[in-house]
Amino acid sequence: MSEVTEILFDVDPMEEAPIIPTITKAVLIEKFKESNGIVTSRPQYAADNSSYGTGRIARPPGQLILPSELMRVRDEVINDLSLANLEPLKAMSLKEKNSWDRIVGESLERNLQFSLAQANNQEVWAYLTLFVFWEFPTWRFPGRKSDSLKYDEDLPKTEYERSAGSPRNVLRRCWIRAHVLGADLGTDGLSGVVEPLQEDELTNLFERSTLGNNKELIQAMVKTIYIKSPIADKRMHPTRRFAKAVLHRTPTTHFGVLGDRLLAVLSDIYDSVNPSDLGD
Amino acid sequence: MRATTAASYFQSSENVLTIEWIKLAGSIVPIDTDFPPSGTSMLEVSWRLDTKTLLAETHLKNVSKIYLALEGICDHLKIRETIKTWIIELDNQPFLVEENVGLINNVLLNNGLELEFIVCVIDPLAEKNHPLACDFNGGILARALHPVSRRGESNLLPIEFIQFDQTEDPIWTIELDLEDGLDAPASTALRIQISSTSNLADGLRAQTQSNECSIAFETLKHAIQTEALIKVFENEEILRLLQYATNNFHLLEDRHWARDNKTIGFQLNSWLRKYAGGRDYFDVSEQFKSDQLHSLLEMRKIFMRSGQ
Repeated sequence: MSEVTEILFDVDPMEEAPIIPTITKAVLIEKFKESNGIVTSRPQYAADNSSYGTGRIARPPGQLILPSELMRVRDEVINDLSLANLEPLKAMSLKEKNSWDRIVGESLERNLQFSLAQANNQEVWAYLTLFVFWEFPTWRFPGRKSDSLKYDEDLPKTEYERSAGSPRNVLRRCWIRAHVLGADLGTDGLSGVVEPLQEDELTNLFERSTLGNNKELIQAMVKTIYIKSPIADKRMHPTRRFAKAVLHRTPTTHFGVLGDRLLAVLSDIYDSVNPSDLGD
Repeated sequence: MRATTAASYFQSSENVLTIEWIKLAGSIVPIDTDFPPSGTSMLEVSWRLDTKTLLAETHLKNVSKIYLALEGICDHLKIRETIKTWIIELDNQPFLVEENVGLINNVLLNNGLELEFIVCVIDPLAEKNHPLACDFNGGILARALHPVSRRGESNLLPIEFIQFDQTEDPIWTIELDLEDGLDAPASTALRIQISSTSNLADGLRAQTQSNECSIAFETLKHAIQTEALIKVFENEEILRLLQYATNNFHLLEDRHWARDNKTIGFQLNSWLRKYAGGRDYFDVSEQFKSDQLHSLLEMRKIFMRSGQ
């Protein structure tokens, strides 16, 4: 038996990164109810340069991130957005919203260091959204009509999910896309004609966890989409059909062993569900 | 969520692939103990593939290329990755592997890692063009899923190994911070500091499933419970809240701290109910204060008996 010292899994060695505080669901609901998800100015409970904020904020053991560092990250993200003429709470076009998502994701990925366990902790994202990036849900998703579906206690489900730490959280969704695909959403190295994936397309990929959790597969899928359909116009339905087709093949096909053939296999799947005469 | 629909081609029966053992840090899984949060542990696997039966059942020719892929799945950390592949030499019957695969980050082991062994085919070639033989690249012929850690989303004990001041020289200190209320996560309301040069620290760092490790964890768990209850007995407001939750448990909403097992309130309530055994919490508190040594001994017996 040979001695092996290789470290398996491509996991960033960030376990020593400073710890970010958390809040429980009860605190989240309490704060959310105070504003009903609409925050346009700094709430009294929010963090500042010397405090994590007020209201039963849990501080996990270990080296905590400094409040001033959290504020620095906030300033950096807002500054990055302002460089693209995206000012806080200013109404945005669809194109600007796509830019907003990409810039927030890239800026968070660059400025916010945390461990993998914390990055997947809903309570961390809930804290960041309510106490550090308090106006971001309202900025990105203003005036949305509530779904007929309600969260418990009559909270509007859609708005609540943008503040809660689930994958639909206003910050988390941007961060994970930048984390997996890179700042340019996988267009780096491709022709300048290629338009980055849009909101609905990204949702179709990342909200299917069997695909979204597999970094190598999703990167190859995105590359396939860009090759097959570089222009965003009318790409959503083909992307959806492609994502569903790949997902349906996961019980019978192991994509991880395909190596160099992976792109060719994905290309065949894309063509099989998107014949040229199908339209969008 | 993992999709598991039926395949419309010949796959092999379950007994073709046998996982002899999986070891982590020298211990055979399944295990259910926290690994130190930082660092890595060696993964060793031993498996056996009945190549003759595999080919017979799948109607593939032995010129097809068969692989075994070892997939690591950690849904809690949103990770699914192929960590090792082996090319199967089809003339070897059975094909045996016993190997040090590599080092796995403990953070994965503490978050519900599963290992899936997947036998699949590249460039499949069927016997006599059998219509139901697998005819596509990557086709899965057999699979076996093994949970490595059952911890899932549970919290780790919030332990910090530190160098205590020489003059104080305690083995451990346990702080319970109730300022954030009973709905604070248990892992954050507690802070446990252990002298890094103590035998207790050595035990906690020892191989999982070793006697040393098991005794160290039991000692620590009992110390935590004792410390937590002492703190509760000294706090009438907390005691009142716990008593109320116990008396009105069926009326509480699902997200109440007494029903959410991640909260410190749930843990305290659970320990106190065990210790009080149906008695009024305030009476128990008075009794505790009047004869602390006797009460601590009684508490120890109860916890040791219940194995909690």
